[in-house]
Parts: sequence; structure tokens; C-alpha cells
Amino acid sequence: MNHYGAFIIQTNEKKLVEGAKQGDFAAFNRLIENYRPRIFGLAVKLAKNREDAEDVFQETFLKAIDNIQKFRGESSFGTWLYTICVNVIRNKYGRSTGELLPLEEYLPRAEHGDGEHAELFDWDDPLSKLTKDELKQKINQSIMQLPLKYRTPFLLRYTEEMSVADVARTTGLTLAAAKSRILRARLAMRQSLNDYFLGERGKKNNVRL
Amino acid sequence: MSDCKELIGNLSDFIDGELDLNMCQELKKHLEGCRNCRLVADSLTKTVKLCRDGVTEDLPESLKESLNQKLQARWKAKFDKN
Ligand SMILES: [Zn+2]
Repeated sequence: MNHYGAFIIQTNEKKLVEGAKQGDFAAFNRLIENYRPRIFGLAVKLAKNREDAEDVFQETFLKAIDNIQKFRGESSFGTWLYTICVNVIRNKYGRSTGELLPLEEYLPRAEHGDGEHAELFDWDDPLSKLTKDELKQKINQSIMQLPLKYRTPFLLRYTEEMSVADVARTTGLTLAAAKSRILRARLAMRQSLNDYFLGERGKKNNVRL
Repeated sequence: MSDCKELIGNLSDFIDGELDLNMCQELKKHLEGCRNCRLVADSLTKTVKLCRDGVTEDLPESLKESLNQKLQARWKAKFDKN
């Protein structure tokens, strides 16, 4: 989007927020319209089950009504909604206790050069052999295995397309902590998918023997 | 030639375009000569792409409706007091 387009959206948003604060329900609905499916998708991936996800989804927007006067436009309205959603999850489940391994553990033990490395291979081959459903199931499973305190920043950054600064704001983390968690989550996800593809490769090769 | 292990930690930033120019040049040069790091970079890119493309959950109509009713009630309670 160019700067002018972004400017128009910001101006519109400001007007809608002012309207909503004065009791204009239609303005509030316009504000949340595009975020409903997004917040739902995120809630499904952060909650432990479907029922919780639906609760979190609805609670997020109800809390937005309760607190609309407190929204000062320091972030975009969308970022504010995500912050509410993340807080609703935190209130529901408490502090996330899970830990990922230290960074080094996820770095493939790559030796320099062009030599073959058992754990490193082109993903195009296994990807072309898996069905969409198989793949979707595995990706979901890998995401759900991430401890919540890593899963949240990872999803905000890469499926919700937030900047690292906004991820930090939304989660209440320092910039450095947000960055570190996003990276570890990404490496852990890579590892999990890589292990799976490696297993699938083994399976398919065995069938051929 | 730089050490893979040292550079590999910067791959994610490199892919996201968040690495400073010097580091970026060094990494680019390294990748040209190192198949293993290229494979890691490629799989890190695909990891994010797969998460973006693969796992969207549609918002059910019934839930949308249920939300609308709750929002309306909450809105009334908040603004129609006087
Ligand atoms: Zn290398």
C-alpha cells in the first residue's frame, strides 16, 4: 500500500473510533469487521480446544466494547484488538510454562560446503508427495506443540504479519525478547517439519524396496 | 570463509530483510558457496510460507451470529443507560 492509501485508512479509522466512542454501533462494527475472521483464526491456534477458542473470540470483542474509551490510538485498532485477545488467553491459561531448547539446538549441524548432509535436503520433493490435508494436519500439530509463549509471538509475526515492534507491544515483551522467541519458534517449527519430511522420505523409499 | 554456525543464526533476519547491509553482503556471499546453508535458508522460508498458506480456519456463520447478538446486548448496556 502506498503512503496515501495508508493515510486514508488511518483517517477513516480515527473517525470510526470517535464514532464508536460516542455510541455509534455501526462504526464499531465497521472497525471490527475485517478482524473477526483473523481473531477467530488466531484464537483457534492459541486456545486448547474449540470451545475455548470460541469463548476467547467472543470475549475479545466484548472486552473491546467495555474498554473502547481507553483506546487512545497509540497503536492501530487492529493491534489493540490482538492485544486484548492475547490477554484473554493469558487470563484463561495463566503464564505459559513451556520452554523451547536453546537456540543452538535448532541449528542444523551443517558442515561447510556442498557435501551431502543427512538432515538437510530440498523440501520440494516431500512437499510434492504429501496431500494438502496431510500437510495441513502436520503444520497444525507442529504449531500446537510450540509452548504458548513462543507460539503467540510466532503467529503474530508470521500469520498476522505484524512487525516485531508490534509483536512486542501486543505481548508485553521487550523487543529483544520478542525477536528471540519468534526466531526460536521458527527454528523449532522448521525442525519439526524437517523431521516429519525426513520420516516421510524414509517411508516412501521403503515402500519402493 | 565464514563459519556456518555463526551465520545460520542470522538467516531468519536475512530472509525477512532485517539484516544490516554489511552482514547481508557477507551472508549472501556465504550462501553462494554453501549448499547446506542454502537448504536451511530455503526451509526457513518455506516454514513461514506453509504456516501462512496452510492453516486458516473459517469463521462459522453461527458463531458470527452469536457474536453479533452478544455485542448488541453489551453495546445497549453500555450506551443506553441514560
Ligand atoms: Zn554454510
